[in-house]
Amino acid sequence: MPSTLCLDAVLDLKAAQPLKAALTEHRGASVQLDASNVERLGGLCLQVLVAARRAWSEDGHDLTIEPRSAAFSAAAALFAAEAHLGLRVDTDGDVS
Amino acid sequence: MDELEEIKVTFFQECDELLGDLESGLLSIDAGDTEPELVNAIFRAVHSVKGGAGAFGLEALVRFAHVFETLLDNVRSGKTPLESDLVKVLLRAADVLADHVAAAKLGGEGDAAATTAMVEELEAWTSGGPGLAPPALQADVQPNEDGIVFKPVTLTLPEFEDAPKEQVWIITFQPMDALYARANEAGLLIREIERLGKVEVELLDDALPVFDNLEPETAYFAWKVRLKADVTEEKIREVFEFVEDHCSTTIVRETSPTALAETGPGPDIAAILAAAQAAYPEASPPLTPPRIETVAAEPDLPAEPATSAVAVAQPTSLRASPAPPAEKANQATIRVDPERIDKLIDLVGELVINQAMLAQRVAGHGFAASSDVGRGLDELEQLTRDIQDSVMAIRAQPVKSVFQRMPRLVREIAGLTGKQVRLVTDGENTEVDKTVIERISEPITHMLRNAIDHGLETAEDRAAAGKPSEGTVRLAALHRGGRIVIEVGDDGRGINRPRVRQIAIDRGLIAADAQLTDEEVDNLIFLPGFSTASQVSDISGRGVGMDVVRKSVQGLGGRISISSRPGLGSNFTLSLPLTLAVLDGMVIDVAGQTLVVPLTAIVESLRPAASEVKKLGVQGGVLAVRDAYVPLVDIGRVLGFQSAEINPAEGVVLLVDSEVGGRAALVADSIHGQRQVVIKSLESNYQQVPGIAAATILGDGRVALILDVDALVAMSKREPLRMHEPSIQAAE
Repeated sequence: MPSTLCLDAVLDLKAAQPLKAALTEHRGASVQLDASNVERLGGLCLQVLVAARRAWSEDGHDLTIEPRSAAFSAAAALFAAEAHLGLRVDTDGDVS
Repeated sequence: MDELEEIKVTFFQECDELLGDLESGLLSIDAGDTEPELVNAIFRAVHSVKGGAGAFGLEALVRFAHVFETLLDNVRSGKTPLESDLVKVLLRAADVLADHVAAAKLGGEGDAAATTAMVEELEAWTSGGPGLAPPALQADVQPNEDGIVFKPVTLTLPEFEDAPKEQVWIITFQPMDALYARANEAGLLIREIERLGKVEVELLDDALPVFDNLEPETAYFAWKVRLKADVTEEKIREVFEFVEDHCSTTIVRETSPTALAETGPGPDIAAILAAAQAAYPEASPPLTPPRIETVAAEPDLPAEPATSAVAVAQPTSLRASPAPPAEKANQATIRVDPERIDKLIDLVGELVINQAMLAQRVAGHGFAASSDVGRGLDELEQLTRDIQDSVMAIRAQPVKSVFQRMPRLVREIAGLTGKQVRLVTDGENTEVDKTVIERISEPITHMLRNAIDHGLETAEDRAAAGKPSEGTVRLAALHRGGRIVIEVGDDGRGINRPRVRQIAIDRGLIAADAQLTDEEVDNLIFLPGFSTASQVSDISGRGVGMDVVRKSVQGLGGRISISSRPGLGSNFTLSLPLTLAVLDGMVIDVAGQTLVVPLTAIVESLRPAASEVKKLGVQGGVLAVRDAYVPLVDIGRVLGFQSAEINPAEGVVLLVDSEVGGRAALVADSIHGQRQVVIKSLESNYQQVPGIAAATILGDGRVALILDVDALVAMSKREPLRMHEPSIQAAE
């Protein structure tokens, strides 16, 4: 059972640093990110999430983002980052 | 303050600088400077104000800046010739822009009527000259709900102007840190592009480092957007207009309409950027970064369609963002929180004190000055002094920031009084401590108002007096004797001495039969109560007299003096300390207390002979100094250190110039010598003490009080803060 990290509602400039810090605390084990409260996802937090997903994957752990608010999903789609966040697996299976 | 507010504060600070650049550029052009770069510089200033304002949604400001910018763009490209009438219009437009910025700072919008009038004027010039706007153009540009006519700027991009319908654009943009730091978002840009047509977005994550090395507030991601739409490049570029400085953007047109359907690799962005950078090497002068340029792409770029062209938007300034290397070389300044500098200055102050204490202890242990320890201490002292000078230099700023505000003031007052005025400034790069800068603006403003309103004559009067009809007001700054001197002069009628004297007599400020020299009469205008309601005008009155100016100058440890020649004009001279953090003082002993007297106040020190001391009444006395009598002020008694008087003949007398009571002789027990001391505020650390300006810490660790000579002399008269003229004293 992976630990769960609840994401803040507003993931903007100010949230990027704390988000990385919070994720770092969960390093070394699978983690589930609860994005159900997210109202806004900015470019900087997106970077943190994508980098985290890669790091977890390299560590051999899972980082999943579930559940997700509509706003989070919409933002991920807008940024064309669904595959990067593991929300959608491309036809060739590339999720990075 | 939340982050957005902080960014906004920075934006307004930048606006002040930009508006200053704008005005000084226009004034240079007005003065006959034909350097083409000046036009570019003023265009960029307006453009940057607009860009920042857009990011904060300051719409009225953006709209006005846009119209202004459009005209400047025409001037820049040579479409509108820059004639002298136009420069005057641009100067007034700069004033309106400044009003908009000032209004936006307070959360409002600029004066709508003034804006509309100015917009019309600017538009007329844009379309070919004042009042020559072609009717067709005027007809299709409708004012919006604010009555402001908004017309989009047309950038000269000839290759794209007649773009065919339904084409494919490849837009690649890489936000910089500053984009996010200014509360902008990459997502908003994508959304704006989406509105233009059908898009395919690709996230470019190559630059993203591994998680551990990731700096959360650094921008790594870029996006490539394929847009299929019936739009011009200009329309796309509008999306990036307000983030232009904080986002590298390339916009490439694919000529084949089927390109969107192709699944092959997109253009090699790095190669395109490299090509663009090669076309615009770092050699471009710092003030002329090509803002938007169109270049032909290299034909051998692998994935680039042969017929495509690349437009590169280069950032014009990158104040708050990590600049690419080429820009870094151009970055001449950094922004630092003033609190950090103040903290550093405090610490250096402590270092100076500590060094003095160390020296004293070493001396106490009998080390000779020539010993290793002694020499080491000397070096330390030198180093400390150098550090102190360097740190103070950080806070030093050119008076330009204050002087820059004055041309507008002069224009406005000239307009109100109907006088023709030319402002000549000199020495605006003279540097002075920030704390001083912040507080000299008001006295200068007031003196300038006075000079124009009261000093200068009307054009007719001037002509009658055989002077040029345009009056000259001079504002100059210079360093003299470790102080900054600011002079405000005019070539007007000079002080009307009989009238001044009469007013002073009428107000009961001097006796009707007082014998005053010309200089003393001139100085009467500094007396409180001299300026009266009957003299208040819209311009220089406002119920504030020259006494208030003098008071604020004195508050800065400065003095003000006046010289005037009838018919030729007046000259006010402000002399201010360069800094409010250190002070050269004379260390004295009074009743067992160590005190510091500011050196600037001391005229001379002497040991009087008993015959030179004359008793007056029970407690008072005067000292005969070179045929004049100067009141004796016993510091110990006035401050309450002792009740018995020191016999001046047994102690030391410091002859001081005080602004409140003319010359006075301070009596002390002994003098220790001169020393530079670090000023420590008593108000912020303890409370205000009458007669004491501040405190300092001496080498032996003891706190010494710094005398407020003026207050002390006033106290000795038991009439604190009541001002007297020296000659009136003598006459009493």
